[in-house]
Amino acid sequence: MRYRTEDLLALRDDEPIDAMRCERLRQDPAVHQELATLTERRHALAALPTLRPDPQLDQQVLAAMRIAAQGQARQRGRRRRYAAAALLTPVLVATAVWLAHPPTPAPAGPPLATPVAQEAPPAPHLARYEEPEFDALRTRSAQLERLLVSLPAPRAVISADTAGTIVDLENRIAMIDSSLNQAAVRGALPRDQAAFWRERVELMNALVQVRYAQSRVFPY
Amino acid sequence: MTRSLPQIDNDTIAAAEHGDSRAQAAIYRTFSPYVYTLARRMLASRTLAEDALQATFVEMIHHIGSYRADAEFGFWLRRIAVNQCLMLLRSPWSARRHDQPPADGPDEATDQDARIGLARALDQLPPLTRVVVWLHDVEGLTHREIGQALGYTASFSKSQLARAHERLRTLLTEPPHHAPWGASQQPPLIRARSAIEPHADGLLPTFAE
Repeated sequence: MRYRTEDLLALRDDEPIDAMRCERLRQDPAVHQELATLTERRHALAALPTLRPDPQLDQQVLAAMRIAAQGQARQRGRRRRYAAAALLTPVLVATAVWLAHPPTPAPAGPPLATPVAQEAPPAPHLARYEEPEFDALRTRSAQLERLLVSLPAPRAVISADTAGTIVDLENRIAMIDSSLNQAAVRGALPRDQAAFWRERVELMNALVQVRYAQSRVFPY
Repeated sequence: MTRSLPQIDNDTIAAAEHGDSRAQAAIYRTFSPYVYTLARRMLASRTLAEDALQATFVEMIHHIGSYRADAEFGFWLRRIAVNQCLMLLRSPWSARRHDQPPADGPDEATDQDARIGLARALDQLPPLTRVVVWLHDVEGLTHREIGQALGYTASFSKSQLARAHERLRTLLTEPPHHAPWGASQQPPLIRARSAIEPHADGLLPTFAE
């Protein structure tokens, strides 16, 4: 019977083999002999002597290892320095900017456009329509303006999220102011303007809270 | 039966990882015979085996930080050594150096040793076939692992193993070739040409086969 070396090796190494073929191979006495030879050869290969490198080569390899290790150590040190520099750079930049532009007292005037309605004296024909809520809203809005001005100057480095929120609030307040100006020019009634003033107070309140949180100095 | 891997304790490995040169030298002393033998058998060249030995331990220094103790250190190092040997086998420059006749040195067994026949027969196998038979029959790698290492399939590894054993059977049963310059070596003129060829690029005349 003819057999393939691949099948004999599969038998020798207990690897999967077609059952019918396996049975036929096992019944063949010549296969037994060949299997024994293959097994013996594997043992002979594994029993080949362990070879030792030349002692001079040992010194050469150990020297190459030392050089590689020194290179690794230098690389590790460089990586640590880069990491420290990456951590310190924003702090140093912020400090430099702070030193170059020390916080100055905030300007006395309101930072945002003041609605015309706030400056202009109420028209005589509107006076009789003034309501307590309308006055309270205007007063509250003015208080918030003053509070905003009294807050410390914003830090030089702030997160993009915070900056985005502040810009968004300021834009919305500017739009409300524009609407209040137009309403005053049109001669709108105080109760019609009250909705704008209410919105403005809410936005101012939010802006003061964000600016206050942003101006706090954290210990990290 | 497979070749057993040398053992080393985790403290030495940790110290070597932290740059302790004595620990690194201890690892070298423990594993160098194993790695050298693996390289010598896979590459059938003493010069290339020496290159592979050095490259393996330099790579070990570079990557010891990535070693995880869940696998045996010897297996990890063996993977590096096998990859280095395969890289040398694929390199055209190494193939050229590989053509030089292996010099009989202190690592070679004597002619009286019965195993020399098998060792020399192994050296005469084609490179891939030799790599497969050594990794499978001696190192105990599966066909799948060998296929992955070589970039082929497990079936390729199986067929190479069968070819290796067929070739070994032929080499071990055929009568030795008696040449006046020695059975395992090339004729003196070819040896001389091989020795100077790497240093005389383009200066030597070429002969059509």
